[in-house]
Parts: sequence; C-alpha cells; structure tokens
Amino acid sequence: MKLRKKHERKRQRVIRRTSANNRFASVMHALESVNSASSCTDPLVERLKQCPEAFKAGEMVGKMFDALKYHHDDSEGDTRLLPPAGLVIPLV
Amino acid sequence: MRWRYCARYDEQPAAKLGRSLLRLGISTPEDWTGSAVDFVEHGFQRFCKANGIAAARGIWDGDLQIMDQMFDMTERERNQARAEMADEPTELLFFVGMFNSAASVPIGPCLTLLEREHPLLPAAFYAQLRHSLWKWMYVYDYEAAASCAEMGILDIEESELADSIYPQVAATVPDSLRNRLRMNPHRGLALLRSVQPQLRSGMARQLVSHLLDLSRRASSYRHAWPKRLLKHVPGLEDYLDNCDGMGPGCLLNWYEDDPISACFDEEMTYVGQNGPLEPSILRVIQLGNSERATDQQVRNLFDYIGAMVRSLASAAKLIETIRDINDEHLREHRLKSGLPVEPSPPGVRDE
Repeated sequence: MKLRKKHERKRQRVIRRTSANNRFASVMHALESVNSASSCTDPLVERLKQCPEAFKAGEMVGKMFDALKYHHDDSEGDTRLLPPAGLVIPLV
Repeated sequence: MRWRYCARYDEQPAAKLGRSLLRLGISTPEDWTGSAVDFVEHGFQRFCKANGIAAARGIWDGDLQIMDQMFDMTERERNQARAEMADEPTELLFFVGMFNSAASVPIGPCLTLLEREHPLLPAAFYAQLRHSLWKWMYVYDYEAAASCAEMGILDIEESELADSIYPQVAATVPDSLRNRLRMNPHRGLALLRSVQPQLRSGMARQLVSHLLDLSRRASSYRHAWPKRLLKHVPGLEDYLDNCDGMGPGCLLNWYEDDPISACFDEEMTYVGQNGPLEPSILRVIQLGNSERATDQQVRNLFDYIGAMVRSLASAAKLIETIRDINDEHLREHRLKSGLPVEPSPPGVRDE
C-alpha cells in the first residue's frame, strides 16, 4: 500500500515536471516565432496588400487623426489628401 | 516597451528579452498571455515586487521602465524614428529610472539625537547617508544649495544681501557638522559600525541599523549616470544636450523650510522648462548578441534593478524613522509640520 502511494506521488511529480517542461518549451517557441516571423507574414498586412484601396483609406484617416492630434493650428504646406478614385465614404 | 497595442515590429525586442528572462527564471511560462510585451511586463513587475517595490513606493515617487527607446515618443515621432532606421527593429533596450518628485529628508533633529551618543556620529551618519543615496539618485543637499547660493549672491546687490536667503545657507549648517561636512563615507561607515554596539537610545540604534542595512545593499554598485553611455548609444549626447536638468530623488535638508529648501524651491522652478528632464538612471541591453551574451547582460541588469529596489525599500524605512524623529521635534517645539498628510508619496516638488 505504502509502495503504491510512493509510486503514485513519484508519477505525479514526473507528470508535473513534464508538463512544466512542455509549457516552458511552448512559450519559448512562441517567443521565437515572434522573432522569426517577418512583417510580410502578418495576416493583417497580407490582407491590406490584397486591397490597397483600403490601405490607402486607412492611411489617410490615420493622417487626418495625426493632423488633428498634433496640429491644432494651420496645416498649410502639407500635401492635401484625396481619397482614391471611386471610393465612397459613407456618412454615418 | 509600449504598454499596449504593439505591432509585431514592437514585439520583437520584447520577445528577445522575454526569452532571456524565461531562461534566467525571472519570467515563468505562466506569464505568457500571447503578447511578448505583456510577458516581459509580468516578469518585471513580479521581480520588482519580490524585491520590495511596495515599501519603496511609500517614499519614492518615480518610474522604472524597460523601453525600446530612451524617452517617450509620440506616434508620429516613433514612425519617423522607424523610417530613419530603415524599418529594422531596435537592437537596444533601455532601462530608465526617473524621479517625479523629491522626497523630503529633514535630518536636523536626527543629528542632534546622534550627537548625544558620539560627537562624530552625526558627520558619519550624514556622509554615509549621502553616499548611499547618491548611488541611485541625484540628491539635492547642502552642496547643491551652497552652489545655488554662490551663484545667487553674484546676482544681487550688496544692500540686498542682509535680507537674502543665500548667506544663510552656510550659516545654518548644524554645529555637529561644521567642518565635518566632507567626511570620507568609508571612514563614516567604519565609525558607524564601531559605535553601533554602544548606542543607548532606541531611536539612534534604529537609525544606525537602517543606515547600515542601506549601505550594505548599495555597496559594490555605482550610479548608472546616462553620461556613462555616451559612446555606446547613438544620439544620446544630442538628447542629453537638449535636456534641462535632472529631477532630484530627494531633498536632504536640515529642517523643513530651511535655506536649503528655499534654494531647492528656487532651482526647481526653472528645471525642466526648456527641455525634458534627464533620466536619473540609464542602462542598455544590446539584443543582437548571442544568447549567452544577452543572458549575461540581462542578468547584470536585473541584478542592478534588484539592488536598486532593495536599497530604495531599505532607505524608505530609514527615511520614515527620520521623519518620525522630525515630527517629534516639531511637536516638542510646537511647530507645524510642512509634510503632506496624504498617504501618497510625500513629494515636495511637483512635475
């Protein structure tokens, strides 16, 4: 009976250790994958590449927000941003 | 590290640091939530907590940050910097320590108490306290005030001198420190150790014990002044040239509202008006090296951070005792304390 308990405790310890090792390896792998992945494999960037108009619209909106955030006064001299041809911006 | 919303680009330096922290056991697999920045942040916070950051926060008000740039940038500045780097992720990470306000340390009443024990004890205490605090921060003390007074005297008419605070800086040095302000801190430490067993007053024993503890924790470390990295960090020299002074971590004065405090108030009115404040502490980690070399740098950095946090926690206990003695002095002399009553870190200088 005692031997069985001892064996069980040992077995649980080994399971815990193996599980911890696996967890360590998986986190290390996840961190490595952040380093090895280049920006071109980013799914968001991939989708934007397939739809350049959306990218341009997004960039334009981003610049508008930047202009609002950083230039409260006049913005003379900045290039005027025009939407891509054929783009409809719905007024919500 | 930017706290939230990081692009993959920003995650890369954090991932490299995170791997090293995981190998060194500072971060654990349980810290992983899917973001490298969060992973590093969890490990860093736990490390600071284990070293006593909560006790340190009771006195010191500042920030310890691991960042992928030397200073905070707007999104536009980040994008510009990224474009200049040809869109390559940064290979340098910075550890930056800044103080937002200076903790008041009025040691006059402590010096009187220590003098009753031994005539040289106040000078030894002052020398060692200054020496230990200077390892982690810029300390605004008698020397800084004397320098401010020296410059101030040049700018005023002789007739105004009698009403000026400047001549009082030198005149109000406590008698126990007169001609002993420049005691060698190592001599001071030796004296503190030799006198400690003979101390009669409980408060004096507490002061010396806390100071020896602080001194032990700070020994073998030296201040990581940003200027030490001029040769290693491109652009640092320009940045420091544009900075307008450094925020002191503490004000080491004799009494509240004494001439040292007056000079401090005067100088702090102008500091930081014409540029950002210079960081008190700056260290870097070079990420492009081998795993072994990176681990060594990260180990050294976290050893330094641990020593800093433990020292600040230890200094916090000492300063609480110093303030208790000062409060007792104020009660005895029926003076009103100038320290804030809020439980927040008592700062005497707002940003």
